[in-house]
Amino acid sequence: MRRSICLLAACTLCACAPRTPVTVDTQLQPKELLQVPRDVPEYCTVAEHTVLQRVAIPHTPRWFFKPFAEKPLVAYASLTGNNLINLNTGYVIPTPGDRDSVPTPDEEFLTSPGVNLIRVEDLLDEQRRSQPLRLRADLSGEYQSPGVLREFDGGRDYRFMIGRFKPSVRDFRVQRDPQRGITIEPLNKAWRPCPKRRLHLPMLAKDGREFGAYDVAAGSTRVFAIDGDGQCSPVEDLGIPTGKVSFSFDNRWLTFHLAIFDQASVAIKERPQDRWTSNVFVYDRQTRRIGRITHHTAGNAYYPAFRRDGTLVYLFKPLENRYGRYSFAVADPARIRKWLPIRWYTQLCAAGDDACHRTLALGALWGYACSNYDAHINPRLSALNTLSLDQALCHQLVSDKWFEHRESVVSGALRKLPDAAKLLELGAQDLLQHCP
Amino acid sequence: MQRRTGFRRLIGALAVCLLHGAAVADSPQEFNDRDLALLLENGARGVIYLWSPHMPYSAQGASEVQRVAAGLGVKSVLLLDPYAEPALTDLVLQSQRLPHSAARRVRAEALLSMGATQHFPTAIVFERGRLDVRMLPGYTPPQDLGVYIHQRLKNF
Repeated sequence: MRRSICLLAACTLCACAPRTPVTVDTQLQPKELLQVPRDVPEYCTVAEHTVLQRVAIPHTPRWFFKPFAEKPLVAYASLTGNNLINLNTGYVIPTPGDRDSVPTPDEEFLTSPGVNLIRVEDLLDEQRRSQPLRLRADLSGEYQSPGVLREFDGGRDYRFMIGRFKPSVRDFRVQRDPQRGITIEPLNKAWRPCPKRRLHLPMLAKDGREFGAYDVAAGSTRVFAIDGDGQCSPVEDLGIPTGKVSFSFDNRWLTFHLAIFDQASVAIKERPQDRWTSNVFVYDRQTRRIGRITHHTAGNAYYPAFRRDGTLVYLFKPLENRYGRYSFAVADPARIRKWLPIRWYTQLCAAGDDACHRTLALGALWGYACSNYDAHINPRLSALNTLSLDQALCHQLVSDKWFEHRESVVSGALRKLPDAAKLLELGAQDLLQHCP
Repeated sequence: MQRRTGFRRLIGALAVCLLHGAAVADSPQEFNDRDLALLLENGARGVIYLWSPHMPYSAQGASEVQRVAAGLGVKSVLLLDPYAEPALTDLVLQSQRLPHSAARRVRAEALLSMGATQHFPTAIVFERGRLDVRMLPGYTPPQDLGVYIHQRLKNF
């Protein structure tokens, strides 16, 4: 009986797969976000205040998608092939290929592994969609990421990076020729930046001058500059392994997801085995601070990617394995209330660094007041929860709970901090100034 | 061209329906801390490979890593994205000819806390009761994967 129901559901899904254009809900309200028991304090639920919009995905997506820079479009792969979804209208059209569909930062082309370029203008035109202009850049490998090196009258120079176990890069010129139409020509041979390093999941910045990758030897995500002569040098180490990074269009910000043990808010009903979920973070390279975009404990937020206006798009998958509840979410990092220095996230607070101690105390306090898992409270992650509250709620948390939990905070979650005992001397007022 | 693409998509969708009906609908097995301890306890050496049916290259690599490990004479343990769709998992198990044991969902905290589920695939070498602290996220062609596993095992 159960199998029959599953079969029926799967076949219903298949029948609904968008082989032809379809329209979906562009203002989705994920069910689990609405299931907050009344007796849970508001400061425990940590509202998703950075999220601007959620758009339903009409079928099972793969974990690969990329938003366009300015157009309200997201290119994504599903079981039945590649698609383009319009986030404003909910209109979905199938596009060529079945994986890794990536728009160039100038929105001129949709690229696929190879590297093949398909003119976006044609895909969006119903008359030309079936036979779009195609160019082949000839750079074999997976995980391609494009950048625009320069623009000139009548054309652009693109850089493509692919990530076949070692990053490879090649530059191409695309220009409109009066006789030959739109042409593409390589400007160099494919080459490997930082060939002595084992770098995985490389992602090129939009201007093609930097890339982020997981440095296997370092065990962390790093940023590398590609110099004018093609050499590469490390410029930044995040100190933690992350999911694939995406650069903002001005290169100041990075966004990525982290698979983390997230202390379950008591607000959310969840299964213990689902405590490890993926959430989206943003890193400010200028101030070296990290901010948190999502606070899902009952869902996963994957592979965020920036748009030109500074907003980002991520894929949301609820934990319950039901169809039809996937969505793309648009979030605005400018709404992050307070940022955490990344060294506070990746290292122990230095002795005497009161601001670090007190901020982590705010995090641990949130954990003891709201979490189901006292033994697993991570004050760094929890600090990003507390710093995501509005000021009034943060004040309420401190006022209501500090005296109740401060001994647990000091002897438990923060016991490894130097001078942790000094936190016992703090009054609520001392912590309030570290709220958003 | 469009008609051919549409036909391919239709076939793909039908395949999901048929395979899902034929697939084992029981709760998927999990690979937890106890399983990991058992694996490491018996002194085996090899590679743990985390894959997801939502990441096509990871599924492709799942078939390859078995051959690579066998060629090196070491063990390969395929573990599934804990949040993979069951129907899609069944489809990929069939199409890639993966063993049913490859559908064990990773729940071992030692792997999760390394960030091993941040990307699929991710390969982690193990030997003499220990996990390598280095992860290898992202698709790696078989030849290079073989070299990597060999080197890491040598340097343990």
